[in-house]
Amino acid sequence: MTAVLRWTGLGKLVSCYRYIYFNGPRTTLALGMVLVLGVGAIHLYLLVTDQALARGVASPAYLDVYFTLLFASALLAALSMATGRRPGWALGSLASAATIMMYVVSRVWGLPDLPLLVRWWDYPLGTFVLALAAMFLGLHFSVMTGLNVAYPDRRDWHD
Amino acid sequence: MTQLDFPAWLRVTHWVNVLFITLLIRSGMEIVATHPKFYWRDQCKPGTEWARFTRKTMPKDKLYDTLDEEESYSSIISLPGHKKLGMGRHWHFFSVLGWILTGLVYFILLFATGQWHRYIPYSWSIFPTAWNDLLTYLSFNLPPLLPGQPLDAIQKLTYAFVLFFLAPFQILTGTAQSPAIEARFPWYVRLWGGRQSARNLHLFGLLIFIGFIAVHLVMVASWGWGQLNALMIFGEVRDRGWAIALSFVIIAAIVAVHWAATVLSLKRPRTVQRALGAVVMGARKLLLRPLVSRQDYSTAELSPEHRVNGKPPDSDGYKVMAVHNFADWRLEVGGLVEHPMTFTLEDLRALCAKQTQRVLHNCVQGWTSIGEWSGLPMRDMVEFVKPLPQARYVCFLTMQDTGRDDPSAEGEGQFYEVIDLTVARQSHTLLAYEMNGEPLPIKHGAPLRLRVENQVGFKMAKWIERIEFISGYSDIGAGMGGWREDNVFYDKNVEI
Repeated sequence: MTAVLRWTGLGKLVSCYRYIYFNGPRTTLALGMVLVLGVGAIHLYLLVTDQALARGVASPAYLDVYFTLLFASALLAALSMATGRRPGWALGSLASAATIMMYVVSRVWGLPDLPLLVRWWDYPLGTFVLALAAMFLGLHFSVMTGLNVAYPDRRDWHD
Repeated sequence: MTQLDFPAWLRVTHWVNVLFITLLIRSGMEIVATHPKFYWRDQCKPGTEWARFTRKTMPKDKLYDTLDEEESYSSIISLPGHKKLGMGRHWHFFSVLGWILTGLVYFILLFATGQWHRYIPYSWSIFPTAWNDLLTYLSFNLPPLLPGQPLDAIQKLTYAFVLFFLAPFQILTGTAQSPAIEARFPWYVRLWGGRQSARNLHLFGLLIFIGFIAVHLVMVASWGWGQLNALMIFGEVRDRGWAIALSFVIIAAIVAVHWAATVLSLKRPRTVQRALGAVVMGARKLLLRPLVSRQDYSTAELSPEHRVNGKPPDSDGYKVMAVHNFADWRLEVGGLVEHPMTFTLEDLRALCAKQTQRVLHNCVQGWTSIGEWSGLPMRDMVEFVKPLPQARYVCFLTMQDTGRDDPSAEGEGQFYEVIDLTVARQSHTLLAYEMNGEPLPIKHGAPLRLRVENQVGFKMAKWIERIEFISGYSDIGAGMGGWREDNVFYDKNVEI
């Protein structure tokens, strides 16, 4: 297998992320904050408008609690990131992962008292928040692997 | 209105475009590999990059040059891969000529046949429609096509953006990286925020192109691979099965061309150098050769640390001369001239008034620095020694033995470069003995180096010891017009 990977060049291709390094700490931080705040803002919007459900369907209390928690976590994550605290990124990833998991579970198996959500994929705002959450997770992963660096950390390139 | 169908010219140019654009992307990656670092300022100060695409870290405790920073990319992403900048450049410039010609044919026929209606919007209502289309895609559904047209609103806007903005943008930012264009039109480079900014924008354009291609393929698959390929191959939908099969045959043929180009470039680089170089040479001579430098950067813009490529001669003779401030150094000028001469450094200083130029230095690798160079205009030297009528080129022989002095370089032997006599007579061609108001530093070519401001850096031979006026260069080295041309297959004329 190793020989095949080496001979075809695929091994090098798979490990290509190790060739990529960005030096934009403030840009990375700003992008992370925009993404996580976007996730939070959409959950606040859903909380206020009940738009996540079909017209006339009452929102269960636990869903309101979930939306509130999500919004609060995202806001806290953004504030924490802005002040240079690493747990902010972890909290943002937690909120993003919860967003993706809850959305997928609701569409595949449904939620208590909300069977109407099953297979309801044609919901643009849902797709959009999924994309934002996935991008935040990707960005955080890139920071953890060293591909990106987030403020207040800096690159120390001497060459 | 013209029926917006799929005429033969549109189908042919589409597939030819696929070939050229993929060749451009891969050869562009090879060019990136040679200096895989991106800066916002033209000084390219080490450590100030906003991105680097390399795993290499340079040592802190010994001298390194930019050749050491070169990265080896896999042939899967770069053409041909494995640190072959010369080949990458040949393919890039050859492909760009083919791409531009294809684009010209496409644009002319697009407007001549009325097919431009498929791309150019003529109602503001397309924007709300495109927004609705976007929401429809986010719902994992397909939006309706515009009435009587082959595209939906967001597709129409995207194609208009790619055709009328992104493609010209890539050509313009690529052009801004030509030393000849930069030398003759410094304002044009400033328009893009500087040479390195233009390089960055060119990279962003590439990434947008890659993104467009990815989304385009997803769209084709979503709307119907068979149906859309039938339209793009046969011009009509008759047999989707055949269309699917043929689409993969065409893709396989394009992959085969890439494979052949890669193998040929790695195994027969000289053949590729001669064949593609001959095609590109004509365009260079016609469009870029006449451009003469009008640069005059301010002293405030001088690079605090001018980068360097190539290492100084590591011989006792050179070191002894350096210790004595090159008092024992002699420049021999001979060959096909009426008055062969030998000069000391003092002779060169006294020969005529010193010429000073503050210019942007373009390394073939992509980095730049700004320096002030002073010395003897080469045209004065030409007038002094009076070339014979059969002299057509000037060969600069240096004290650098590449195998001994520069282990990072591929090849060995005395470093030399050949320029055309017409280039030697251009006003910006200088025999420089000073840099930034001081005697030329050793790492920049002391005691004497060449400056040719409409060419990339490797032509500007450093540590010169002899100048020969010659009628041809086929008998020198491997006969390609310079050490780098012989050993790493660069082009002889490098105005881009």
